[in-house]
Amino acid sequence: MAKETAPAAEGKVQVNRREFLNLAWLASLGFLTVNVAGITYLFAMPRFEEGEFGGLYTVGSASELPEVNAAPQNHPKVKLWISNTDKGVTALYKVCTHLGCLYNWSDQDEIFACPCHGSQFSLDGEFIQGPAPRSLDRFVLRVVDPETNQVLAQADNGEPLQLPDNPNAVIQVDTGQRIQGQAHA
Amino acid sequence: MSRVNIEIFLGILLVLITSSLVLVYGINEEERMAEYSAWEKARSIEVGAELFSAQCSRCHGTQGLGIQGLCPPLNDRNFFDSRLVEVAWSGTLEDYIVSTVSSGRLASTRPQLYPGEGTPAMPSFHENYGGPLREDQVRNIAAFILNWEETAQLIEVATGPVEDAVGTDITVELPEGDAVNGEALAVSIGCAACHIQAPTGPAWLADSGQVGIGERAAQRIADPDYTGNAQTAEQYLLESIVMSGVYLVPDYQDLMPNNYGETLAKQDVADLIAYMLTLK
Amino acid sequence: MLRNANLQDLRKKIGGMIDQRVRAITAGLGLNELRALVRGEPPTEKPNPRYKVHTTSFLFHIRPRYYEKGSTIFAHTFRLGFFTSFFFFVEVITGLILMVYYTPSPSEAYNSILKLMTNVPFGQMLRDIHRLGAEGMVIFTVLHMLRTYLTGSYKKERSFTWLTGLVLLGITLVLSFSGYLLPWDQLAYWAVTIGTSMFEAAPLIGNELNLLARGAPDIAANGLLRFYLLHVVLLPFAAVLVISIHYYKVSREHGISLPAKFVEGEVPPAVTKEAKTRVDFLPDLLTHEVFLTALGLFALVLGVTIFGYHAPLESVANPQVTPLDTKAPWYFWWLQGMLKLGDKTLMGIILPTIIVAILVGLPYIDRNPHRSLYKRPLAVAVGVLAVLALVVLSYMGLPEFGIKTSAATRIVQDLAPQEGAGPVHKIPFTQLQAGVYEINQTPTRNLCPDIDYGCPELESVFGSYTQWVNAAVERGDLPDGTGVMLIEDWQQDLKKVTFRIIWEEDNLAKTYEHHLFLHQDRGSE
Repeated sequence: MAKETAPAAEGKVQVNRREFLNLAWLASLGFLTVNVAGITYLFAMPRFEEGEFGGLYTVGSASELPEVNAAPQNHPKVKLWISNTDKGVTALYKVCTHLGCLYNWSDQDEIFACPCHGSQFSLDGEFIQGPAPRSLDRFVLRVVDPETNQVLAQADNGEPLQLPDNPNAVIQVDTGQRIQGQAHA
Repeated sequence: MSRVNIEIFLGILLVLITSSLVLVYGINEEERMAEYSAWEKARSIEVGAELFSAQCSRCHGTQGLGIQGLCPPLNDRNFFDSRLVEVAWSGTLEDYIVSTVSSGRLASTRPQLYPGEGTPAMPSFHENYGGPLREDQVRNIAAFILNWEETAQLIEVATGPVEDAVGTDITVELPEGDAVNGEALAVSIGCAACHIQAPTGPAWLADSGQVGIGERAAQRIADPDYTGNAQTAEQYLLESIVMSGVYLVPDYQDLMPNNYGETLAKQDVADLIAYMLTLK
Repeated sequence: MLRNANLQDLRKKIGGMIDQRVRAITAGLGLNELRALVRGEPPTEKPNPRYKVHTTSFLFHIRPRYYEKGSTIFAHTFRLGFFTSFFFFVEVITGLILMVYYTPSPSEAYNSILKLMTNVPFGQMLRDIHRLGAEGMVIFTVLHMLRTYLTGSYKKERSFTWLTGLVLLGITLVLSFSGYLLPWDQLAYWAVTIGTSMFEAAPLIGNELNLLARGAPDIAANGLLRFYLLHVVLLPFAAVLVISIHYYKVSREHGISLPAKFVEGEVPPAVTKEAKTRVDFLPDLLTHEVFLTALGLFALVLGVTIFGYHAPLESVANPQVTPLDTKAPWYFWWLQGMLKLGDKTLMGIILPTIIVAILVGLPYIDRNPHRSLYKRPLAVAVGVLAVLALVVLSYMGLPEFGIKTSAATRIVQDLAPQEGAGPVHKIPFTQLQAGVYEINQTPTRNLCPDIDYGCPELESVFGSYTQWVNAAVERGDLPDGTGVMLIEDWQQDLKKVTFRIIWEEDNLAKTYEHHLFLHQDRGSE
């Protein structure tokens, strides 16, 4: 067993210059490490271009939307259903909230039904029945004036959005921002 | 200070300076990326301009104004505002351009305006469909064309038979022709694109081994292989405009639009013939 | 008092447990010992626990326990070997990070680089550091080799280390060359096409070698994938293996050589004894190495930010069109120079093979047992000559040397190069006044009275154009030559610039014309 030589003095030893410098160095290296970690995070987080799934997607102008209470509009590339109901327009995420299958719209029954385990949802995404724990997830939806690029209305909380009167207004869906549907009782 | 202490001190300085340099760089990152993006779009348009000039301008015109009866204008307000609705295209205009350039056009979508001659109406350009261009080159051309959106003017296109059309009877009496106006018409109607600027059709100008069309017209009708009905040089030239299929010069194909009899006025044809006769 | 005693015991016990854990992590250094290290004080235990770290810890096992003081003299090694490995680590790390966004397919590679530059934060910086680090690694490898040669550190017991070093030189050059292709732009594509066409010149097996390297007669998807795998898997793996062997020999077998003067008896024995004193690696030399690492990182970041070093990116690779002034990467200019001297097989295959053979056999060819510079005049002379030859051949490898471009082509290429930015590209968009500018007819001053602040850059370019054409006419390269520069408005933010030079040759009028399009947002790239 190694024999410890007696310590210089009992109690605390003052920090000498070398020790101070080494600790300062450690601190600066720590700072650099934090920087590098930050850079790596910013570098590695994927960014999406407009039109890609994960980015801002332009649905079209208000005049191209489906009629109120008609069948929802399908946008397969960005996994999106656009529903138009009395309460307004909703952008629904196509992935079922149960286990991840893509649900379908049934024209006959006028509901969304998932083929995997039978969950059912209404046109505006509310849960009807089935093993799914919550209503359908939605995306942040907004209406933009095509000339001025001003945002006319925005639905941040997933609630249906009432459209302004302008038929040329452009509807955009931010597929990078998803709001979870409400859990049912 | 001992050497080791100096090194540690310098080391601290270096690490702090490096971290700050990186931080400052990071603050400007968004701006730098946006700038680079803009530069990349600019390059795309420049390359597209070069490709358009080489591949497309002989039909669509160097400034995208088209050739009457042959190729529609692209630098046209209607193209940007209403073309997609016209063809019920559900995607973007960029998609429409890329699609058309890539796979070509088997038949004209507006045969009464742009009958062209023969199929395909437009060849395919993407290498996947037998053309000479890569995907990125097709997209660059699209970027160049889309760059006309801001300034495109309305191009008037003759929509049907014109007043006092010359018709297809080559013995008809033509008014006095103005060769100077004929030269201008040769460019604006588009004859020059195939007969002067490119070797698509028999060259009008004198070239090594060949006299200009003004003299050649008379020679052609004397040729034993001539299958047309013209008796004079003027009739020959008229016949080659309005009844182009009747006689084909050897080594050339029947590519001329076949409705000039309906879309050109007598005076214009007279001017053109007068101009052609001066090309000896 | 009982409670106090218990607290003391508890503290001692916990202190003991922590100390145990710390010793386990640091391979034998307790808390007190760590503090002594940090304070720069001698070891607190006997036997010296700092040595044990080198035998017990995996990370430290390849580092030597101590250095002889003479071998740490800065002017002896210049730390070249250290920096070479430093750059290697920088390359591995930045390379791994860049792999997150790169795709090795001809249709995707260029776009993935563009995405890196426009939609990935720090993408350009990491790419620039990767490129700068690569150039640094090549430079330092060669300098390290030169130093080793001059201090005679390849002789006797170090001859195998020299051999592994040569293998590493080869690996470094091929790593750099294979990475060169990956951006898939014109620069990359054609430089690597030229380089790999050397394989075809090999006698007998040339065609097979070419197919092996490129995966096809010319470079396409197969070639890119092969080069990518070489660059990212095979060569790094081989490099780590051979670096380990190389460094293990240095660190554990024969150590860094002492400067020859201490060993070959030109100094008093007391000085030699001083030179052979041991300097422990922990802590001072470790501190020194961390300092050098900080210096290296600082230099890299400085180069990429303040000094504006940027990895170039030309237009996307076009296998149908070779641009003017295509050249190999700079560390192969010497080879390109040699190729201009003679036959492709002789100059490109046979001579380089002979050179490599000489280098490999150097420890055996060189019979002189001395390491001191003064006692090996022949070796030093050969070394100096080799460096000179390298420099001269590299200059000869440049396109400006020995390649006759026609005068008209040269003038226009210098003004508006097909790739990259030339004087014409740098004219601000607002100064590109549409018009016809004829040499010797249009004055080169006051060209734009209608533009605020005039158009100095345009005048400068037109002035150079006039000057160069006139000079060529005087030299006799362009008899009766004239030129014109045309600027046309093409789109609202696009101009077309045309250069046309007309001269007479053999009683025929000859024309050279080149045009380019310039967009408003071209910026300073």
